[in-house]
Amino acid sequence: MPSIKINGRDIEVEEGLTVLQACEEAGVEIPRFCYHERLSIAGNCRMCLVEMEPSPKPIASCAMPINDGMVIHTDTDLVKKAREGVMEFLLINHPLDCPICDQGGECDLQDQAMGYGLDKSRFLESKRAVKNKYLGPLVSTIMTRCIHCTRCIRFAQEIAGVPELGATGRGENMEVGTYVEKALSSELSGNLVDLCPVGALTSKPYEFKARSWELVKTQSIDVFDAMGSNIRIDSRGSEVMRVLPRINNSINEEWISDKTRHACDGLGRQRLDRPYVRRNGKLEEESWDGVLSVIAEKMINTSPKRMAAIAGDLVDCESLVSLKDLMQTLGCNNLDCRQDSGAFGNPRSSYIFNSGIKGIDRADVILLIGCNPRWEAPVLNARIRKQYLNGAIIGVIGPEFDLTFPFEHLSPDLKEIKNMLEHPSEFSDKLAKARRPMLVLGSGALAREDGEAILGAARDLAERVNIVNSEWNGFNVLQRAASRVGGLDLGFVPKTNKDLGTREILRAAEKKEIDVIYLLGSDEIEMDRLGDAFVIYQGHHGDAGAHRADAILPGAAYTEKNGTYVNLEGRCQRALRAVFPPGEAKEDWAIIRALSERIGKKLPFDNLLQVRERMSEVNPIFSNVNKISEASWGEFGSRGEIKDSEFIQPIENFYMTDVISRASATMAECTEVALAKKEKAA
Amino acid sequence: MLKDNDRIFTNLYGHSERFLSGARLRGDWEGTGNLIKKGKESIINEIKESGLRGRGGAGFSTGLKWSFMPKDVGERPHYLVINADEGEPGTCKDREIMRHEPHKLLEGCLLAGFAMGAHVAYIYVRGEFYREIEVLQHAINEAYDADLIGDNACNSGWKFDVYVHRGSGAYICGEETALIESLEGKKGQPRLKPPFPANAGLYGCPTTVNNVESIAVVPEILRRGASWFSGLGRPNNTGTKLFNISGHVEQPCTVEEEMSIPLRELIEKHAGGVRGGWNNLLAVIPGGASVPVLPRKLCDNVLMDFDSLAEVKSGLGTAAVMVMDKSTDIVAAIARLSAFYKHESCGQCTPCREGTGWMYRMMERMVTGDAKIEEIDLLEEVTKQVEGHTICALGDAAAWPIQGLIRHFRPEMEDRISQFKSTKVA
Amino acid sequence: MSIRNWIYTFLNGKKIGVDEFGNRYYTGKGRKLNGRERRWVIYNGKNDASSVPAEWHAWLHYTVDEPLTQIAANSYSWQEPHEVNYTGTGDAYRPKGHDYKGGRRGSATGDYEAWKPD
Repeated sequence: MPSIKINGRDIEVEEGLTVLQACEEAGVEIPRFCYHERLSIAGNCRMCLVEMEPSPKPIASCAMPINDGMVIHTDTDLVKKAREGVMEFLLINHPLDCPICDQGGECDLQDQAMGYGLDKSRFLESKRAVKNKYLGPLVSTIMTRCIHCTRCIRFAQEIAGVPELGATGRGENMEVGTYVEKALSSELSGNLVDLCPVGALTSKPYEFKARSWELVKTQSIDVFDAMGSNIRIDSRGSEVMRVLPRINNSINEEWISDKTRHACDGLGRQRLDRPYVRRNGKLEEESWDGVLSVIAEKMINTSPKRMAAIAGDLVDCESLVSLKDLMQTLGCNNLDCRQDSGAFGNPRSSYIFNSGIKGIDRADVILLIGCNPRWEAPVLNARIRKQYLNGAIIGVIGPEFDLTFPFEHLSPDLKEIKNMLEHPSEFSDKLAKARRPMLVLGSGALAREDGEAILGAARDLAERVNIVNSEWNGFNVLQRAASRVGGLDLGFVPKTNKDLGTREILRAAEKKEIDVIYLLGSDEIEMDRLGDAFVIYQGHHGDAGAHRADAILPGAAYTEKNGTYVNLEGRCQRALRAVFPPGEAKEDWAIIRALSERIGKKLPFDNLLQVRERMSEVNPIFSNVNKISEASWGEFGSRGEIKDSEFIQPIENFYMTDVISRASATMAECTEVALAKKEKAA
Repeated sequence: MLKDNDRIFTNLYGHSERFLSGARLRGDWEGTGNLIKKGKESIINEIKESGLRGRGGAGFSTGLKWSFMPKDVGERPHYLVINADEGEPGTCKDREIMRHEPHKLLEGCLLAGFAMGAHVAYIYVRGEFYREIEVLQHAINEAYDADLIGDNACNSGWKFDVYVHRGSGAYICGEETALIESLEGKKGQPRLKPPFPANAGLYGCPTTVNNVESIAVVPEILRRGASWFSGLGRPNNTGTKLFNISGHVEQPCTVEEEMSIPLRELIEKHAGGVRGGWNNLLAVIPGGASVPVLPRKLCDNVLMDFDSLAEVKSGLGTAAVMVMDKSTDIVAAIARLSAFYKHESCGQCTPCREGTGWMYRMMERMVTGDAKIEEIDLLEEVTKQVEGHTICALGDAAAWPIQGLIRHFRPEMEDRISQFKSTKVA
Repeated sequence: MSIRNWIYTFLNGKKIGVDEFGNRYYTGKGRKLNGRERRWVIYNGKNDASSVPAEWHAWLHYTVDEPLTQIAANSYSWQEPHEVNYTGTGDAYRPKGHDYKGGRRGSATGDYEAWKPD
């Protein structure tokens, strides 16, 4: 380990660090603008200049690799002068419009100008003004504020994989923008706003809405995909103002997708804020008392065999366990948390991302089957792209799609899995020879009628080409719904073959064999197939479910309750409540608990703690918060035939996949822009 | 004064045939194969001993630079890149070489390329040199036809290819790493160092970037021996050099002279003296636009070499001597240079991007005198804030002329400011 | 208007004009202050500086030599008439549901848009 001297203190640091990183380890703060841990080094802001003996000129610490015996000073006059100088240069052409700038209060330039800048301006010339650019409906630009750190350019190129941003012109006239004006075609474009150290790129939906210091910050978990990205919810009063990422290197690093970030305006629209009951074909407002009595009466008087419950994609584990317990105490096992009836097997490893998201960083050959990670989990896709840049080989079975990185397209037909099993191909050789091969099976493939067969074939392939061994399990299922893994872990599925799953429930309802259907936030099933069953809808948005419902129980969205979610790699995470549910809406588990009392089968818990104890009882992984619980390997899937049908992508429009994003005006705008782009391309 | 038989560029003015037949008469390609047979080490040592310093402006020892290349060629090929992006205002030496002595350059490429283990040389020529590129390309074709370069260059068994690449006229592309970026097809912006090009240059491979003149003198040094070259000039400033004399002289010219020739002698012998006599001299910029200006009193005795000019806080640069007589508006002249640097700054790093514009605007006001006396100090401070804080040397180059102006012509600037004030009041 | 002001205005003031609120504008007769002629206003009613309309404000602050009454008279259709600043008075703007407006804010309105069946 090289040892270097920083400000007269000897410290030992790891090989291969830069001076800036070494200084950070030594506890010495170095100001910076262009440097960012996850981006390549540009070294162009010159703010991180430090003195290195014996060099007479200060050096850019972000770009200088450390050598043994280096002597670094960060507190000399030379360094101070250099920082002041750079700061002054940055400020001469930066408008001093902090009071009207959205970045104000959380601006790197503002903070560092306080710390390292001069207290007055000596610049008498006129300032530069730059025309604003259009970067789509999410990123608003005030390019006059740009300090040309090129973080955005590097992010678009390196992380997002859309080389659409760049600098044109040179010298003072250098401008950052898309060369030809157009919206960014990345699902991660919102991160540009976080990366921009000044207010040049700000969030368009959040523009002029709030100041950072008025917001209450709550740590939470994202539900728009199954990754369980760590987020921070910024709220003011009863309104969620914006969503920002939290750093979690095992999951989302520090990125989140545009849907995660910007769908939050959907939380203020189309809300179910009071109970309704349908009388004479018309939904009428009702009190909690009234609606619970109506439902209780109906459920008591219906045979358990003629009842069913389906849970949606955004539901938290607390409400899942409550509803499951309620239905089972009533004697009904027609439960399903899979709106798409996706196949799964008994050992837990059959439905989770076994290698963990972090495992992608170690994989060397990756086979994607029937999934489009760019839309199903954009942040995960960026991680695969990162591994591609590190040399991983990627193959795809299923429809072709622009994944932001090149891949070998093996076959559009999922039958190729069986083919690979029977006749080793070039790619299966690569898999077999790889040290850490990985297979990613999409939820869309599992949701087909022949899902079981696909699952079984994928499992066999995994065993054949050594994807699963004692040290490494690269068999990964890419779930799409935030509630899915948690629901499967809690056993919110038919208990035996006689009990009905979503597919059978719908079939039975069509034949009028089901009288009561409890929809827990479930909107993505075919409502017209529910026949004339009595439909209870519990949820937070007025969408397909509420329109069909005979009784509506207004629940809480993910920002409005303390919830537990299990992400696709089987990591149990807790989200905190940021705001209260609107109107008369209540937390979901409490609604079910109240209903159980009306029915006369009181559930044995009175507070959240007891609900969570019950969850741990059902499955011990729920006491293992924030960690991945080991999943054993075993037999699952069937040996059936994979059918000859065309693969249909489960996501048609990335920006609108659930009730919240469908209610969001921002997402609607994104959809419009994306559609226009598609039409133009066609 | 340089003796005629010590001259390297004997066809500098194009009086005789510039292509292969003429070049052979002048001694080019004479025994090149034998020189190669001496081996890499001996070539590099010979150049080191000759004391040849890079002719592109920085004056770094050429032999030493070559020796930084990895000794053995590994997985990555080595590249030689010739910097013929001659954009420094006042400089026109490489142009003359490419025009009239292209074979000297090609022979130098082969020898230098061999010495550093490169099989390929790229000559990055400034796009404006359209005719020169034609000449160069013709010379390359000739050399291929005569098997001087190609699969078996000069019967030495060394494979060597030369490619000409045309630049698009950005001054910054004359900086070695920006040149490499541009050659790779990217936006011409200097790279961070380290890693140095000798380690990771063109396409990430070990690369040496040399000036045209540095390379073109190599064959002659190897033929005549290091001691001949090091015998010319002063120690540490050896050999001959092409000087470009422009401005207020009777006969502006490009001339090959011994290093360390006194400035006054150079101007009077070769350029016919300053217009209106030596006493009419106001100032001289001795090494292209990026070095500080020298007032007359320093010009009397200064020698034209790296060390002597550094002593008077200027530099040899590219040895483009710009002479200004007393009719010159020196502030306006330097302001024009500031405008040039503002225009040519690549915009990558902060001090240069923002500083050049600021300096230019202040200089513009200094020209009319529309400023305060204290602003001269501010201007100097701004130049100090740019100098040494940038990725490449363009920041320094933009700062130095202004520093030179303030150092030597401050009274002139102050006069102008007070004059402006008085006319305004009136 | 205090007695002192009234006497001073009577003795030294030359009336320039009256605005739409009845404020009267004066300049000093002859005597200058800091090299400029004196300009002042006698308010109609309570002293309220915000009641000086733009055309007179500019004149009062020496931005223009003559009051801009001509320009103000030819104002565009989209220009709003000048209004005094009501902050701190009972006429100040208060949002719906403000205590002083007497209204009670609905507990479940405003922050979100509720879903309505059909």
